[in-house]
This record gives sequence, C-alpha cells and structure tokens, in this order.
Amino acid sequence: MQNQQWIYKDFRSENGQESLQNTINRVSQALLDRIDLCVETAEVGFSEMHKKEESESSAVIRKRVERVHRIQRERYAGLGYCFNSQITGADMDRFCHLDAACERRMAQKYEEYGFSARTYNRTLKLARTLADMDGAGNIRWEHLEEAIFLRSPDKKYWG
Amino acid sequence: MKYEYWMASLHQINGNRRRQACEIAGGAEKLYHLPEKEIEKLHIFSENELCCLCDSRRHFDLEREWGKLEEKKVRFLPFSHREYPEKLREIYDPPYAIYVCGKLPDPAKKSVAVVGARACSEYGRSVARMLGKTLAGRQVQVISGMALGVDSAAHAGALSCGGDTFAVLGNGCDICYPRSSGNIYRNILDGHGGVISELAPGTKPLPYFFPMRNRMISALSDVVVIVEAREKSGSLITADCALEQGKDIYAVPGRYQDALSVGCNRLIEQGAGILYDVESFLKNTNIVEQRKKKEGKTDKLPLEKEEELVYGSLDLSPKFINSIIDETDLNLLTVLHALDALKRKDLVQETFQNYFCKKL
Repeated sequence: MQNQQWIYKDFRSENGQESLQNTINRVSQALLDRIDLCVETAEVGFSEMHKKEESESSAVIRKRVERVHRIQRERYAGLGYCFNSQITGADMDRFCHLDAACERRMAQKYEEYGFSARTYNRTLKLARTLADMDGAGNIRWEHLEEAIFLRSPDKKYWG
Repeated sequence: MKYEYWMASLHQINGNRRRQACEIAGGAEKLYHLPEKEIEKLHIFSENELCCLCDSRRHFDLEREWGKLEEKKVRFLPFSHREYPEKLREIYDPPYAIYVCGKLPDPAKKSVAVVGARACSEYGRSVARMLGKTLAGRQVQVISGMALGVDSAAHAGALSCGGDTFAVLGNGCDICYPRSSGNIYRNILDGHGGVISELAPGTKPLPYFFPMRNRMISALSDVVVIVEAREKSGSLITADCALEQGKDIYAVPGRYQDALSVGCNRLIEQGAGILYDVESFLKNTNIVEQRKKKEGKTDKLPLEKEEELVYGSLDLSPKFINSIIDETDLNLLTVLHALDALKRKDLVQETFQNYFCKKL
C-alpha cells in the first residue's frame, strides 16, 4: 500500500518530549514530509501480552487489504499506476476531490498545522485510502480527520 | 561617549569601583589619559584590576570599537545618561552601562517579571503564557530572560495580545540566544518592547553572565513571579535579588513532590506570595486598577455531551489521544470531533502530535 513508519516515543521520563524533539530536530523536514503514516504505539505490558482475547487474524486483515487494492487497481486502470500513493499531481483533483465544506475546513487545518504542499497532498491520498476502506466514493470529512490524526511528525508545529 | 564605552567594556572590574574612579578623575575620558601611577594612588582598584585597566588602554582601539558599535542598531546608555532607568540606578550594584535594542520599559507603567525553569512542564508553560497574556492585556509590561521554557512562554503570551515585553539577556543584545527564541526576539524588536543587556554587543553567553542578568530582571520590575523552579534553580537567584532589592515575590505553587515546583513551594514556605488566581494576584499587588470581574472561561460555555466527556478527561499535562479514548469509551472519530470543537472554542490545545491538554 503505502510506506509506513513507526516512531517509538518514550514519555515515561520527564524529558521524553524534549529529547524526542531534539532527535527529530536533527532530521530534515523534507525527509519527515515523505513519511506517509505515523502511529504512536505504547509498550506492551505483561498482562496485555498474556491476554487470552482473540485478536483479528492476519488472514482477515489480508482480505481487507486485498479488497482495497482491487478498488484502486480498477480505478487507475490504464493510467500507468495502481495505488493511491502514486496519484499524479494532475490527477489529484479528479480522484481526491473535496467538496466545498471539506476544503474550507482543510484550509483551517493547513494553517493550524503548518502543512507543506507535499504533506497536504499526502494527507489527501491517505484520506483516499481511508475512504476506499470505508467503501466510500468520495472523501468525507471523517476520512480527512483520521488522515490528519495519522500525519507524520512535524517539527514546525511544536513550540 | 567613546571613553564611556571603553570603561563599560571592562566588565572584569567591579562596576561600583569603575564609577567611583571616574567620579574622582572627573569622567572616563580623564581617567583614560591619567598616568598609571596616578590611578594607583586612587587606591580604588585591586592589583589585578589595575593591570586589566592599563592593559586595555593599550589594546582597546577607541575609534574602531566605537565605530563598530555605531554601525549596530544598539543604543548605549552609560550610568550618567539621563535615559538610564531609575530602577536600575537604585540597586546596590547597578550596571556601569546598558545596551538596548528597541524600547526601554516605560517607568510610568508597572512591570512584572515572569521567570522560571528552562526545562519546564506543559503546566509551567501554560501558566507562564496565561500570565504574560493577562498582564499584557492590562497594560502591564512583562519582563523576562528569553530563555527556553517559562521565560519564552511569558514573552510569547505578552506578544500574543500585542503587549510590551522586555527581554534581559546574558549576552550581547545583538545576539539572539537561545536561537529557538528567534521568533520572540524579532517580534520584540518589531516594536513590542525591547532587548536589554549590560554586555557589549557581540558578547557570547557565558554561565556567569546569567546571575548578573537575573539581578537586572528583578531590578527592572515591580513584582517578580516565579512559575516553576527546581530546588536548585537559577530562578531562585532572581528571587534572592528581588528580596535584596525589596521587590514583591510571588510563586506559582505545585503539587507535593513535583520536582519542578520544589523551589516555588519552598519560596512560599519562606513567605513569598502565592499565585493561585490571577485576579487575586492583581488585586494584592495593586499593579492594575481593579475592574469588575471579567467573564472567565470557567463560566460554563455550552458544550456537547461528548465534548464535556473529553474535556473532563483532560488536565494540564498533555495526554495521548489513546488514553482519552480509553477513558471516555468513545471511538476515535468522536474523540477527534470533540477535540476539534474544543480547540476551536479555545479550551484545549494540542501540545504535540496527538497530545492534548486543557488550555488556561
């Protein structure tokens, strides 16, 4: 699908946030911009590891991923690419069209988070994938909201 | 002026002694031309200081150094200058001269210093920002040291509502240190206050300049507020100076055993004022004319049920969105919606990607 990246944060120490910031400050923003997804994961505790609860099996997840892949392949048939992450700039408006309300709200978010053109487009593509998983034809606000939640770390926003 | 500048550049020598020598000699210019023997006869300087003074007379290129200073947009105010702040004149060891970029604090207005830890918590940052904003909103000048953490937050708060704020630095006032405060530095110089230092332009920050700077911060203000301080903290030096200079000291209390609040709690134990409510602080210190009680955020704004739930699960230290989801038993989208709405109502801030806390 899209390249994914997990950055592990340790917030247990008092200076966790600061040391993480120091680390990320050394990484160029252009590199950070190229990360599609960022999910913070907590350490798995002993009791959680030993939970007997049945979790979703990989086979089920695989089916879901394949379904979304199929949707994308059909949509991009004949265009020379087959995944959302590859949508070209010229096709952006065609496949990641936002209605007026969504666009207005995205404009606010763009300011708030200091997106770059690159991160903005990446967020739209990610929202496209979320919409596909939902089986939705058009990107809705909730997809955008979730895509923003999964955005890559941005140092401009901290302070 | 050139000679005054030469004299001011000798910060290895005690300021009071320099002033005394100049008075006796009849000005810095006369002292510059006085033979070494004569200066020795004044019995003011120690051997080392005399050595340093005479050395600098040989090496200090008056014309060139003065030319360099004039090129920079820095105002040079020696002790004898009429614009030299009265408040600084009054202290025990006033700086021989100060350098100013931008404005000087208006003596007709009240000033409050807001200082604290560099490695502060989000709580300290929020309190400092809120204090800066509230004070500046009431035409009080906010003075601080532009350091990371509390100091910067106080400046930022004051700037956010267009108030005047003054930064006293432990390095030359043409250098922005720390660099991360660049935005604040430029905003201050953009007509919202001034940057003050007793060190010549171009002086790099050194550890022992900072205690010197702290005495100026307290000297320039009427009240000193310490937001967060560890048991051993530079902010406590500011408090000590304030005590010596007879200023009011207020400390923001912290929780039992919070390492970052030990210094503050101890100050309160020793008799400093406690700042737990801005309105009563303003009333007790008499720094602003009392107005009728302003409508606070605590006066209930209408919140949706989910917003209420999410808001209730937050406090002043940032919380990761997953914990909010766990605590409220709502799904991700509902929580995101609620947080978005709360952000727009200015009740919540995102301090870090997907970390949220209440806004003061």
